[in-house]
Amino acid sequence: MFATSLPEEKLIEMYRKLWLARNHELLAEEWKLNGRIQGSVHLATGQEAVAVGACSALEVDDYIMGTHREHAQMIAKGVNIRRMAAEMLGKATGMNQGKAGHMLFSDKSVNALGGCGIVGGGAAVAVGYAMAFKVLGTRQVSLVFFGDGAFNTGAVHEAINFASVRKYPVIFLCENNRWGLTVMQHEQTVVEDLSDRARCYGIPGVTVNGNDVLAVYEAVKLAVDRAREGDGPSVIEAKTWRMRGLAAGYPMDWEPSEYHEEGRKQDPIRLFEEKLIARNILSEEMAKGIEEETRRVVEEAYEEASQAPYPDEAVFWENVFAAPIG
Amino acid sequence: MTMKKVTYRQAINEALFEEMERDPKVVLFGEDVGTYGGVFKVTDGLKKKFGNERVFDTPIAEAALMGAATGAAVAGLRPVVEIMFMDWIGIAMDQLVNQTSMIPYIWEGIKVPLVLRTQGGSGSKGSCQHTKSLEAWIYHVPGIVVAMPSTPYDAKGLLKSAIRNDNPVAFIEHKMLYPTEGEIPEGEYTVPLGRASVKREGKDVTVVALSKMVVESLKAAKELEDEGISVEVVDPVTIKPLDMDTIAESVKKTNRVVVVNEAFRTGAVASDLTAQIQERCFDDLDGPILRVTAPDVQVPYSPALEQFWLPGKDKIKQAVLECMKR
Repeated sequence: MFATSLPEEKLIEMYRKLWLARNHELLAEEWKLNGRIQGSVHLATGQEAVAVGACSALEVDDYIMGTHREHAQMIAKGVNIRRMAAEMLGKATGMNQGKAGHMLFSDKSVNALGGCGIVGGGAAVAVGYAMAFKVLGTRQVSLVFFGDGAFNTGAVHEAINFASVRKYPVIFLCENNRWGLTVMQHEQTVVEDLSDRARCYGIPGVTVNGNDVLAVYEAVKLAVDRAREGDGPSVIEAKTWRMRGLAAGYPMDWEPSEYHEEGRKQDPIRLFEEKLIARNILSEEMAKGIEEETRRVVEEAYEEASQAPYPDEAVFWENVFAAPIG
Repeated sequence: MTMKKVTYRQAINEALFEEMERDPKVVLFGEDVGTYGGVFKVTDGLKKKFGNERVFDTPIAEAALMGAATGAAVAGLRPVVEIMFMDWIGIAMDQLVNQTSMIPYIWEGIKVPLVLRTQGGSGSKGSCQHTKSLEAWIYHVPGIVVAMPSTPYDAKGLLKSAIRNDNPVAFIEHKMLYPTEGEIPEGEYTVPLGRASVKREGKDVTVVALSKMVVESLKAAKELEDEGISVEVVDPVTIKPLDMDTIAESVKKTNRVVVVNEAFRTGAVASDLTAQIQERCFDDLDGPILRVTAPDVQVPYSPALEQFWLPGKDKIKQAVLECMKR
């Protein structure tokens, strides 16, 4: 699908971001499993096209709110990979000085604000971003990623309804990997296409193949244009496949093999690569080069981060209150 | 300074008018706060004056309200969000605890300048879903300023400070105080956050009381004066951060303390104030610190039963007399 007349550089940039996100996830998994990253690590391996397609339709000024599986989302929005790696390791040079960790980090410089470890907790905050844009008349939009599990929480429905009635410029992007933690979608809801729910709120809803980066881009672009024109929010469901378990190291042997077979078949990077090569925008050699270059970037970021100091106690006490009180 | 007599309700209404006039970034929203002017008429006239983008009615969706206020504050507004009855704060609590209070600390000092206005308190025959005082829940969480004014003067001046402050502030009103009257200056004034107020000077016992319990304590003090007991009434006004210096100074003088808080006894703010006072003032105390609170019982409807729940003048008097004996 090349209905959009995206310039070649933009398409190559999207391809590179897919690889940057994928290589990040592969390395983060390795570092988690060998104990160099602490805590849990929710990997977006296989889901990168949702993030890259969506953020490619946004401007730097636009805000995103991510999920607990936020790495690809934040990379797609353009966060500094070195500061991100340092955050993943809890270092002082991390984008949040090591306070946030892998599922909560944010980067104000690109309005990646931010991860959210409470399933469904971010939607209302994104509505607030959009409220500010509308009141201040800035023409910015906000986009919130949330999963299929989150789409069964009351807070997400409250947020969508509120945004609809106020016509706030926000895009509700359901990144549906068919898993709410360890429970599959059909055990959590009888609705097949979750974008159908948009009809209940009187706003547009569309379902796309989330592993087709251009399909995601197209859908989000339409929603962004609509939001900027003052026509209010939209719901987009991007169906995708989680190539790993709930988090790095989680057993997957009990998960249905058909799901994972389909996921491998639908690898978003391969799908996009085939299209770009068929159109002579990308050669196999260039593709290999981008894969290797992005791997180096991620490796260097993590090696550098591993040498960085941990934050000191002063950081611990800072910003409980971010401003004077009395 | 020319003074005028206003009700607590009018004082809050004036603060909202003045701050919205002063700063176009101040917005106000909540259930029934717009056209109707609030179920207690506190926001009367604001929508008419400032228009539907800045003052508006919302769906009945407390989680969305709290989250949206948070996002709007991050993105440049100064929202005043109303949760109509404090009993319903539970619905908004996830947003408050996992987003609002977390963001400045985790995201490198990003400011969340919002005011959460709500009201609690019993005495209204409201039964147990419209009468609770749940300030302890918010008080418990780091990063939120908690204010509980007891007079029209404090309510107006403190709300103006709260709206101008760059931290999230929970501004907790008391429904039975709305019609109470007091004097305020004709012109502009503010009351600083984080400063206690000695409402009555005395030398025998210090009564530290919150919200409407200040009014009850002053009544008790007046009657005790006839019995030859001199009671000092200290109103913390802001309970977090607490102005411990003013309380300690009073205890140094009286050596006896009663803490009064209209809330369930276990885990009440009164319990924490008691602990803080004994830690700081142990050597100045002539006896144990006594607490006057509601019991650990749900708030029943019947006027005949509600009286057993409510702390007030008589129970305060009793506690002061008991305190004098020990």
